[in-house]
Amino acid sequence: MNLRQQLTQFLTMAFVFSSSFMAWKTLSVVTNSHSPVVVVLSGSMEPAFQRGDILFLWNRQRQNKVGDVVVYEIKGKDIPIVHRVLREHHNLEKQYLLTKGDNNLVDDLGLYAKKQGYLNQATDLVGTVKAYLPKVGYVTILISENMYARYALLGIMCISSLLTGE
Amino acid sequence: MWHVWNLNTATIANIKPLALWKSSFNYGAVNRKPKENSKIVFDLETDLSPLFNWNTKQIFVYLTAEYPGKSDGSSNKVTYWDRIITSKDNATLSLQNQRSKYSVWDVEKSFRQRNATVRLEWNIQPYVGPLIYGEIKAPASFQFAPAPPQ
Repeated sequence: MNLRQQLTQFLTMAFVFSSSFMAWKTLSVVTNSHSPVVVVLSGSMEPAFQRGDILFLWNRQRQNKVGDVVVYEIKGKDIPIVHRVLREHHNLEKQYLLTKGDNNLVDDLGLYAKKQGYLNQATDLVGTVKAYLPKVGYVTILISENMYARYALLGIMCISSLLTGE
Repeated sequence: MWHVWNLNTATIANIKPLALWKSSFNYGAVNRKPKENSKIVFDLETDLSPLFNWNTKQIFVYLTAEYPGKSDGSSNKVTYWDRIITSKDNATLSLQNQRSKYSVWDVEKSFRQRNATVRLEWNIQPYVGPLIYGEIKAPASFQFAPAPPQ
């Protein structure tokens, strides 16, 4: 293996990484959402969504309807939440939403920030769920929550890079 | 491609609105200022089994009320009742004197006896693919009950 071959290999890898990054960012711009594809982490929307399911989001609508399933983020809390719109109140300028998990007994008031009574449609949403793919995202949950899975993935990547080097 | 769902009409009848005052944050009150809460009792007859096909994981069916707001172009829609249906066997609904699942409050202090349009809406959650929404034609309406003295 000479230097030229190694450099070509490095270039190919860089190309793969940069093009997937570009694809992700393009999708982000098209959907107007910073995370256009998300993995479900909790069971609060069961049986519709289970842990590891993948959701495709769209965030260009100016208003949401009651019954829409939305992903939102609360300021000061890291984890985005996928729940259904229970109520909407709007005028010409803004829209307030109250959400609830299908599998939860009560609405989301307890999940919002202190004294916050509604979500602001324009600022709090990551997107509205448009399409659904089951289970595929479970790999990312395994990798982020299970260290053996992480080592196994690293091992497989190392071995495959050694093998393709020939 | 997509089915055109031939749904029989639903019947929503005998809507009885109730009004009460609440002063807990969990019922919409801010700083313990009383907030009018609304509940309804209703009858509902419908058959949602045509919505089930090979790609239907569940039906989420919900009863909504839409009523105007104060300013031009303002409007509100709230859910009184909903149900998750995961099997065709449970898709025929026949409810009498059903109490609303939720105690509803408005952004304003009171519902001011406005008129509300009631709808039965549904969402098909698929095993894979797009989420599908629709509404069953069932013209119904009610007037919010007068709020009791505080």
